[in-house]
Amino acid sequence: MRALCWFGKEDVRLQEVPDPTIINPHDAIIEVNLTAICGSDLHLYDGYIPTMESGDILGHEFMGKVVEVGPEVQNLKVGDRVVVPFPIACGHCHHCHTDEFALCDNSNPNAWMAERSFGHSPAGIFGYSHLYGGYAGGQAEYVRVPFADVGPIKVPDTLSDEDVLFLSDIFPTGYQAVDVANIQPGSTVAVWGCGPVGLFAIKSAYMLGAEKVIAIDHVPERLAMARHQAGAEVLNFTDDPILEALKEMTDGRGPQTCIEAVGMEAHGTGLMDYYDKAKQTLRLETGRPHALREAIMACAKGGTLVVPGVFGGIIDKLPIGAAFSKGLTFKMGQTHVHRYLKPLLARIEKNEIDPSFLITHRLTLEDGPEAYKTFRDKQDECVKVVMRP
Amino acid sequence: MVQTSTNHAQHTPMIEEEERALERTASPDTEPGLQELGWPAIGVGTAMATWAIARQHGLKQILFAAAGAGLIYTGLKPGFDKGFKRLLANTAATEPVEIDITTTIARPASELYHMWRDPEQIPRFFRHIKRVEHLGERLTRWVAKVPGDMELCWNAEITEDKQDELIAWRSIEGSELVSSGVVSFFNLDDGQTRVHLRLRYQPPGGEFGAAIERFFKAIPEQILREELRAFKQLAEAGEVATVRGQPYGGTQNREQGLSMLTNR
Ligand SMILES: [Zn+2]
Ligand SMILES: [Zn+2]
Repeated sequence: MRALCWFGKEDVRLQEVPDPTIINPHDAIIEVNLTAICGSDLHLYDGYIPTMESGDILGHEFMGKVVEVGPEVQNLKVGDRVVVPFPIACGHCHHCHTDEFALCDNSNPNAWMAERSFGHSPAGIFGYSHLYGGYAGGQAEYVRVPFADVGPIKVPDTLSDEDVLFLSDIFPTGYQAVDVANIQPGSTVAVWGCGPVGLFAIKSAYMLGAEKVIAIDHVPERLAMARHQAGAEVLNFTDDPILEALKEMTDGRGPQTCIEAVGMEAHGTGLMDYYDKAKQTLRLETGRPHALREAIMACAKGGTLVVPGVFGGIIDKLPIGAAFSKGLTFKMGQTHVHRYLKPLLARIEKNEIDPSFLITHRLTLEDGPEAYKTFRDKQDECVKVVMRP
Repeated sequence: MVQTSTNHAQHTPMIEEEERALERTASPDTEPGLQELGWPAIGVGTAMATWAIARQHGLKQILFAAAGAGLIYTGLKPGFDKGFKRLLANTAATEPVEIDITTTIARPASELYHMWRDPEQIPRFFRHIKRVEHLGERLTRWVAKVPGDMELCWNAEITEDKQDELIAWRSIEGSELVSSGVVSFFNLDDGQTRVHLRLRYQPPGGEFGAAIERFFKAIPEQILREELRAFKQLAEAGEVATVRGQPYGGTQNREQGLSMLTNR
């Protein structure tokens, strides 16, 4: 089959590789109908995620058709059309039992490695480094899906591939960011980053009762999308002094919920940004936490700060004193996608949201290597790339 | 401002019982002769398997030690039986090693106890063990894989067996390494089970030097941690997570690179 493989920093190639096979009894093989490049794939592309190996198959956002099931799979059969969550969860450990699927104890074959880095191991993830299990990803014609009874959700024929693809990650990720903040009716939510996760966070905030959502970015077409498609008030951080503007827009209190949907490669302005870039280049810190710092400073007293963007290692110069003094609550982590599949599929079926609104590029796997570059450089007004194998 | 203190050693009756069980396994002969050398039933094979596992899959941290082991193995191969047993006999100068690992498993203690007592199940999670033969109510013969298509056998006697709670054992005559161990299963309030494994053994040393002793001290714990993890995965999820055998973009260096990273 053909697959997009990682060969190093800024080096993604389309390769002919063997077809995946059933390895464990709860595996299924999915023929991929549609797959996407995620913002967090760009951290791999830019070489910021350690433990990638030459030849690793990329991709954790995909959907398709079941073509083979292992001997112990009971909930799926050949021919089922499914969307697959990006974290891999066994369904039977303590964390799976408590709906914390992205913290599954049993799905990371390299758990020892993650324990060295993090103290404990999170779940395995498709196509996202050996630290997260080294699983082959879904930017390919076929993909092996472990624990197939637990992850994949069947989707009705009435919905198109594009309607359901983003259940694999970015829709639940944006939704969870708001859900875990437990927002009160009438509250204000600020979202840093109007990429795909930020856009879904904005839409989700309105679904869950926010009065006002303020979106912050610097890419004009993304700000336009946040305003026109998602209904946010927008701030461009190259023009507006964000902290003052946010205070102004919230009667001096600051947003009660701040969502940092940028992650480890945040862009900022000013001296601190150069400091972070220099350190990141030297690998002294692994993230550029500009947006995170700003969100801490902006957040209302007693407010909640949510971090759905990916952070991989160590950052510094975090104003922890501000967070402490204002009594902030932090919520962060990978998305427990499984938890949201049914309710969000129901919202799509009821036409409460059309998740395909942010697709700007409809391509094939052949276009993949070029698409990574286009997406990373935000050229061609690129917001979301989907590819059909 | 609140000062917190950590209550490090959780002194439960269970742990005292494990302690007593482990003491009772102590062999009367502390300087074993050639015939009754022993490692812990599990620890032995663990160390043996390390040679195979470390060379083919590898843990990054132990590559150095593994390379050393490879050399010993090469050196031993021509006269394996004689040489190896001499190596094992040479424990007089070494410090005994104790391995202590705990995990929590979301299955009832009784189920885990039965998995541990089932000779058929054991090779599924102790992956270096070829088979376990039932010799009697309290006697088992363990056969481990050793590189070069060889086998290593030892006999373990169960010294204490409390159904659903605790199993203690030690090596006996006819074994090649001195060892003892205890595993306990303790029902926690939330329906999970704490599994606590403790092993004692004497690493070989003597003429093979301090580096070898260090290797045998460091590696079995790494391997045992992975095997206890496999035990948990089998018990909870019914399979052991793996990516071995999946496709990737072909490069010549790939397998070599992966051996630095991947465990399974
Ligand atoms: Zn993603
Ligand atoms: Zn699990």
